[in-house]
Amino acid sequence: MNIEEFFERIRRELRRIWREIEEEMEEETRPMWDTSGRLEPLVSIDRRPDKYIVLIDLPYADLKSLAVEIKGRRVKIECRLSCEIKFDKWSAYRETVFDRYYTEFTLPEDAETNRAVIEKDETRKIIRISVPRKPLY
Amino acid sequence: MLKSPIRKHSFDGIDIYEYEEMRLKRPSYLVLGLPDVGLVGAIATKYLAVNAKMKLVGELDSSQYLQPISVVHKGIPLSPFQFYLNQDENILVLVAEAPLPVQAVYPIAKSIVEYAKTLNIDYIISLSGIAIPNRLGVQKPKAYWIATTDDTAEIMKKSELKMLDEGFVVGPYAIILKEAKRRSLRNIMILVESFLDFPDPEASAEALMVLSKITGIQIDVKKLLEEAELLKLQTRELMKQTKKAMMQMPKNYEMQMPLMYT
Repeated sequence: MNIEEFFERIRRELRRIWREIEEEMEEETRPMWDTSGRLEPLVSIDRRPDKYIVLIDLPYADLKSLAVEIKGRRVKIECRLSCEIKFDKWSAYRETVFDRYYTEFTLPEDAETNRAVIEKDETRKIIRISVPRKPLY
Repeated sequence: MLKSPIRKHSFDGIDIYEYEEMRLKRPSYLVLGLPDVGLVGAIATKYLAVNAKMKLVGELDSSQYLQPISVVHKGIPLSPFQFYLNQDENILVLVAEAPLPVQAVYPIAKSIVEYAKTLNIDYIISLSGIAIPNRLGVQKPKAYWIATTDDTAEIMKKSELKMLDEGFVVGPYAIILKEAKRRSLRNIMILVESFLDFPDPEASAEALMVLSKITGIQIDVKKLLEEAELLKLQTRELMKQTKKAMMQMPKNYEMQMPLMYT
């Protein structure tokens, strides 16, 4: 590798790190309610030695309408609510009728998303996605 | 509209305002619902304050340690940290609508203990969750207790609950436990198995049933369980902010085994 390639790698890595910082800052300040009627669900990612367990909390969801799309490491979740919800007394979103969940997130680099297994807990309205991790060796 | 406070207690930058004369009947309880694991305590105390038709009697605030936030209920601006009193005037409940910033944890926890001492509170009861990795597979979460005095421990040993033998507690409740023990004040911490970072109304219902046995207050948790989905939906952002605050503490210590484990 020559010196130019070396510096180009550093520049790419710094851009990647900066993108991650920007995404994290945006995530922290982004509200979980949207005036278009979309709700962002809570997502919990638990790293185990051999897999990732992703839980998505979808209260009031109609799980029959659940759509999970996995492209590479990017996961997209959409699901309608079982009924429309409105909060008349809440000044921020008084006029909004909430009717669906939507979220996207990226799994870590060692997630083998092509072997992901999706399960639904119909009682608790929680989705469980189990994603194996690529072995190191 | 609320009247002006009749009294203000100040503890190292933390102010507690009282709107009524606080002459609690005995035995008196201070029930704490700070946002923590699974929002167990926060949901439990909110449900208790609303369904037991408790009266707003005070607020906690700090220009030094807390962010400039006012919550508005029925058009009335309030601190996110409110005290409610039951009709029998022996149970004071602290409801928190925002997580404690990490720099506020020590001073606020200490001020709560000092305030309890000022009011001659007989028992401080902290409600919280204890995160378990397989919560999704658990139908009925178990509750554990920690007590800071021998007499309280003897009372709790007679209950069906298991003592938390070994482990770590991280956050404001940890400070309250230590400060209460050092001052020989009775603090019982109830920890119910829960999700770490999802609101867990089922665990809150268990916490309230334990509270009912300790205090004698009648609490019907049926409505809480019926409203569980709505509560989970409404408290998503509080849970997200609480998780961020927990990670700064660091909450992951609670999953570790103590060095002195035998």
